[in-house]
Amino acid sequence: MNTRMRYTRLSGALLTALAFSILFSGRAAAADETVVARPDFSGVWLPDSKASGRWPAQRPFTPAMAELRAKWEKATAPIDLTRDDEHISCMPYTLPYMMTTITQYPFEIVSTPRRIYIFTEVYGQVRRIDIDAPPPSPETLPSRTGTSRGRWEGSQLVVETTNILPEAEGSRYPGSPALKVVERLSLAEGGPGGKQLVNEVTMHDPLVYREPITIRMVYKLATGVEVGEYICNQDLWDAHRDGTSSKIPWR
Amino acid sequence: MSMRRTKSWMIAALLATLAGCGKSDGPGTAGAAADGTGAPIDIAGVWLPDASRAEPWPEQLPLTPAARSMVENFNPSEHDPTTFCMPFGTPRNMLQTDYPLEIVQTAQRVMMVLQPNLANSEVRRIPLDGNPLPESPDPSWYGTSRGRWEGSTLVVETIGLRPDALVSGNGLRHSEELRVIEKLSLVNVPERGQMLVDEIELHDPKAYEQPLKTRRYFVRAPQIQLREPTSCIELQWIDKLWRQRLEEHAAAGRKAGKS
Repeated sequence: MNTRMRYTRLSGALLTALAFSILFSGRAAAADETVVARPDFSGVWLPDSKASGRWPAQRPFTPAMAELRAKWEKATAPIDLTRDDEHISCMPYTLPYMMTTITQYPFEIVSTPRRIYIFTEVYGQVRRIDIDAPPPSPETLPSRTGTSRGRWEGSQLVVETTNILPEAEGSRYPGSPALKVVERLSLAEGGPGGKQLVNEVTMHDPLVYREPITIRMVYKLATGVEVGEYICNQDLWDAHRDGTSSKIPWR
Repeated sequence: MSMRRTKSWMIAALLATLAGCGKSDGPGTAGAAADGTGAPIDIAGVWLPDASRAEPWPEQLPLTPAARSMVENFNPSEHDPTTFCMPFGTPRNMLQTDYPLEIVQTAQRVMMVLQPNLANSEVRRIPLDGNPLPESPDPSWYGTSRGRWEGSTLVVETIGLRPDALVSGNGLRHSEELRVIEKLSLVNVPERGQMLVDEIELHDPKAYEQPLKTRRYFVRAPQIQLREPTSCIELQWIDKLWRQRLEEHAAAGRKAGKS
C-alpha cells in the first residue's frame, strides 16, 4: 500500500493501475506546488499499546458533571459491565473513544484526494474526513463518528470533528453536544512495522471537562493484515440458527 | 461536490488520453465503451440504485431442487438475517434498491460501502493488485473479492460467501460454492444521463442449474451523505433498557404490594 510497493508491483495487467497512481499523485502536486510533501496515511494500522498514551486516571470533570456522574453511579450501582455496557450489546463506538481505545483490532485508512476514509474493523465503522470542507451546516444530525473535516498543516493532517452523538453522563467517556475533537495526524519512523502513525487527540468539551484532554496515540503499520469483517451480533443469529445461547445481554 | 465531479471528468479524460484510446470527448461519454476498450474510469462517489430499472428475476428461475425447496419454505421472520439486525451480505447488498452505495476508489483497491439500517456498515474490499483469489477463504458476509480493469469495465469476482445469507428478500439462497461475477461500467441512458451499471452473474451449480444474471443501475447522488446504520441495533438496545426499567418497576410494585 505504500508508494514503494505501488511502483514495484508493475505487471502488464497493472499498467492501467499505474496510470491511476500517476494521475492521483500528480493531481495533489498540481493543486498546490508550494506545500511540503503530504504523507500518505493509507494502510492498515494497529494501536500500539506500549507507545500510546492513556486517558488521565483522574479526569478533570466540571463540578456539574462530577455531580451528575456521582448521582448516576449511586442510582445504577452495582454496575454490571456484562449487562450495562452498551458496547457489549453491540452498540458501536463513538468518537473520541474509537480512536483512543487500545484494541487488538486494526483499522484501514484509504486516502483519496478530497476525502480520507478510516475503516475500523471493530463494529465495522466508517469515518469520512473531508479535506478543506466548510463547517457542517446547523441541520447536520449528530452521529457516533461525527462530522469531520481535515486540513493540511505542512506534513500534518489536522482533523476537526463536531456533531458527535452525546454520550450519557454515566458512560465510560461522557460527551456533550459541545464536544469538539481535534486530531493531529502525522507519520513517524520506528515501531515494529518501521512506520508509525501518530495521532494527537485533543478533546474540547467545556460541559464535561474543565480543560481539554490530549492523548497521544501511536498506531503501528500492520503489513499483511487485512481488516476483517466484524459482525457483533453474529452470535444472536447463530443462536437462532443452531440453538446455542447468545452472550448478547438483550437476548 | 460539483467540483469533485468536474475533476472526475478530467481524470477520466486524462486516463483515456494516456491509454491512447482517444475517447476523451468530454463528459457524458467517458466509459461509454463497455467492450474492453478504453481505460479505467472514475466511479468514486455516492450512487443511488434506480429501482425502476432493476431487472427482475425471470418468472422461472433455474433452481436445483434443494434451492427450490428453500424458497418454497421461506419464512422471513425465521430465515431472513436482516430480521436479526444481520447484514444483507453480498450479492444481496448490490441487488437491493433501497440504500445508496458509496464507492471509494484508488489505484490499489475499490471499497464499496453500504449503510442499511442494520448493524454494521457493509464494506466490500476489492483489491486490484493482480493477486489471484485464495483457494477456499473463510466464509463471510461480504466474501473475498478481487477486481481488475478490463478496459473501462471493472470486473469483480467474489467467493467465500456465507450460505445463510439470502440473495433476495423472497428467500432466494445460494450455496457456499457461489461465485459472483460483476461487471461495473458507466453507460449513457437517454433522459437519465450517465449511470453506473452492475451486471451481476451468480454461478453456483449446487443452487442454480444455470448462472443467474441480472443488472442494477445507479445514478450519481453527490448530495447524499451516508449515515450511520445503527438503528436496528439501537432499537434493540433501547428496548433492552426499557424492558429492564419496566421489570424494575414491576418488581418495586410487587414489593410495595407485599409490605
